[in-house]
Amino acid sequence: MPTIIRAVALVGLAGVVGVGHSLTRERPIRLAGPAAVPTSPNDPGLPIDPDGGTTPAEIGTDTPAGDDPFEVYDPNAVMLMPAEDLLRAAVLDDMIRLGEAAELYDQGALFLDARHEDEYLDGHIAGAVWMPASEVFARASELLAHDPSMPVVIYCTGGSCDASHNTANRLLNYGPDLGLDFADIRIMGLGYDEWKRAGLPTSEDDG
Amino acid sequence: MSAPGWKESLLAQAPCRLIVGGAFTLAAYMKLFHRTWEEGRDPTFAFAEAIKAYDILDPVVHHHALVTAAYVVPWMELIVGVLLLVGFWTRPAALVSVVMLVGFTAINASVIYRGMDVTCSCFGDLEWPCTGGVGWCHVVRNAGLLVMAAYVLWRGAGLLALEAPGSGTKAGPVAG
Repeated sequence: MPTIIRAVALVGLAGVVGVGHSLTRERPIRLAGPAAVPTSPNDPGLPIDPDGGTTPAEIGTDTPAGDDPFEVYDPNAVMLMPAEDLLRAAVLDDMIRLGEAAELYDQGALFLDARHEDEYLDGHIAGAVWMPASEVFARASELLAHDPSMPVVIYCTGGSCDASHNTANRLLNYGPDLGLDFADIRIMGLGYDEWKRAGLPTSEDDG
Repeated sequence: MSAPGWKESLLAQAPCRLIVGGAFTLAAYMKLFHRTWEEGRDPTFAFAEAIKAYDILDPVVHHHALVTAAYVVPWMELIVGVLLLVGFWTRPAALVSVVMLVGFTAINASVIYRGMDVTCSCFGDLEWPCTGGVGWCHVVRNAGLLVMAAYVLWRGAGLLALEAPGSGTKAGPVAG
């Protein structure tokens, strides 16, 4: 019996030390997922639904047919939407609309492309830097010249694509260690295809 | 079963305790403190991502549990590993290590059963002695450690331990 009691005490000790260690961390760990990623410093991110109903895929598939596509994100409606309407199309709650992204683009925001490299080389937002999560550590130096007070907009293929979130997570967790203390990181709710279809600036240069 | 003699104590109990303790301590160190500077990765965050990749808990619903586990599991490994290495509270530490190894082995087996390609991250970035994604090598390694931990739980610390020989046993070892 003393063995079991002492074993439980060891587990309790590990729990206390582990939680204490987690509290010493300056920036809490955020794993990929919309509930975990704020899109700007003032945005706490999506509230966590105990039933798990806030993942992008579920939001996308659970959208009732016939809802206003300018109020509720509907990937099917986006596909069929005329180019001139794409700027106003609704996106998932923790992302920004195409129109907002275009405004930020005009203001000089840094755009990061989180898609696969071949997709980037096939075409990307003009001036965007290829930066999937796996490249953040290796290519951080390419972003050092960017004014950290200016917004950063990350995009992938839109909708439930989580590559943008993964890059955002890396920047939020490690950015300061890498000299990249971005104050405002946002995720574009629609993807590159919609950006291109809306007639916004694109490029096929390799960056 | 008679109490362990000095031969068993020196040749079986102590090596098993030191191997299990060393493995746990190394695993904890790699997860808690070994920042891979060439990539600048924080080991705790990397371990949290690894736990997420096992796809056992929903990262949205159980985000806090995943992150807490990324801190608590390595500390549990460190406490248990050090206690086994020094031979203090050996049986309680061995009991915790047995429970952990059963859990780790079951998780690895479930990954294989589900056909997932997941990096073990058992020793952080150190792939030892198994390389690549989780496979039967990891299961066999954990099973080997599990047998040794169970043996220490059964027979005690043996020689080269802080606690007195036979501590926690009713029979106690045969001296000499």
